[in-house]
Amino acid sequence: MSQTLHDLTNEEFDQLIDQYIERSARWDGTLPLDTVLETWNEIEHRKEALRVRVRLIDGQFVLDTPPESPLVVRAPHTLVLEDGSELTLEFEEVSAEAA
Amino acid sequence: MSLNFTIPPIFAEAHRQAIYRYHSTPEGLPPRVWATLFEAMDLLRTAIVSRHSEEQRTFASVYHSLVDLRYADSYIDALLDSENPSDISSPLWAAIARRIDRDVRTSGLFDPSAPDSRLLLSYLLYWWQQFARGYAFEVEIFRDLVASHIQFQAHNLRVRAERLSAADLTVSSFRGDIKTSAYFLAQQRHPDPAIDFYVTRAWLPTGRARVLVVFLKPNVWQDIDGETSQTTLTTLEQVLPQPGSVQIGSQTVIVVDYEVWKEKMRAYQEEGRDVSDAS
Repeated sequence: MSQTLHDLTNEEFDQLIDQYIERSARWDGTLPLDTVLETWNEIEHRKEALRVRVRLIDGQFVLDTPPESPLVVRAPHTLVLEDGSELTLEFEEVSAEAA
Repeated sequence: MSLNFTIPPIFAEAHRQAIYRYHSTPEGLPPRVWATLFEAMDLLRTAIVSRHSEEQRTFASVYHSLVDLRYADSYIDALLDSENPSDISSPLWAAIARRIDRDVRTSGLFDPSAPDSRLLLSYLLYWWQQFARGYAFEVEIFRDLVASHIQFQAHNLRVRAERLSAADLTVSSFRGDIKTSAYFLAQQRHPDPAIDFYVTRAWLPTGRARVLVVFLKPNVWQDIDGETSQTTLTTLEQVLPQPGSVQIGSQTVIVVDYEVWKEKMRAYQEEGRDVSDAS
């Protein structure tokens, strides 16, 4: 499991900040060119609209996402994002008068 | 002390993990973690710390009062008054970072028993790093452009309102920005469409060398020179210092070695193609 700042004791947090300042003082913000380009590409990729195809097959809704999508279909009506957040779609058939 | 933190609901576990990794190895994050870190730090701008129900402050406003108003002007003055801004920026950055650490802990806005206090300190140090390193680099480039006889108009770094201007400089009619690679990327989440080119510095892993590069819009490079080689994200290092054209998301970007760009700009200005230049 990946760590967060919350997982640290106060002493560990203070030490982390101390080390960060030491380390950052030796780093001027320059990144490897491939990291720059791949990160930029990733940032642009995340701006793109997420596409979900919904097909009605024999009265059942079937969700589908493109292969590179950060959205994954976990359950018939549930989509999961990379950060773990879920989106559950509820389909309801109503008559034109009721709508 | 009763402190409450309101963190935007969209701020997720992945953002918290990226922040931890940034503080552990600030220079060594993989691309996806960098992208998540930039999202995290943007989201935290609107996070709120409240000491009493009537006193609520966003993290951005805490940065403004505790960091920007206290340290930015004197830091910029020190850079501009120094013969070697890149040499003094490191120790100065670290000294002020330690003061920010102390200041926030005594400001009444940090409580060791409130875990999100750590996010506030993290946010302040991250933006201080971006600011301080970014301006040291900017001063370095301005001086080099003067020495290289490139005509340009720069914003006045000593004036806060001018520092906030969209473009750092205008070279001929082209509007540009000068940013460290980490700061440049942070800005790409919401780039200003009026910016024609960016000057940044990158490390070439294969060549084991640091280089200055310029990213330009294709039409801007067309005006200046027009020649490029089509390349990919992974082969660009082999193409440099010659200009390369790469696809970033849905946009085409021209990547040029800074020395080549200066040479082309000097020729552009000497040939008088520089019709809208007022400098």
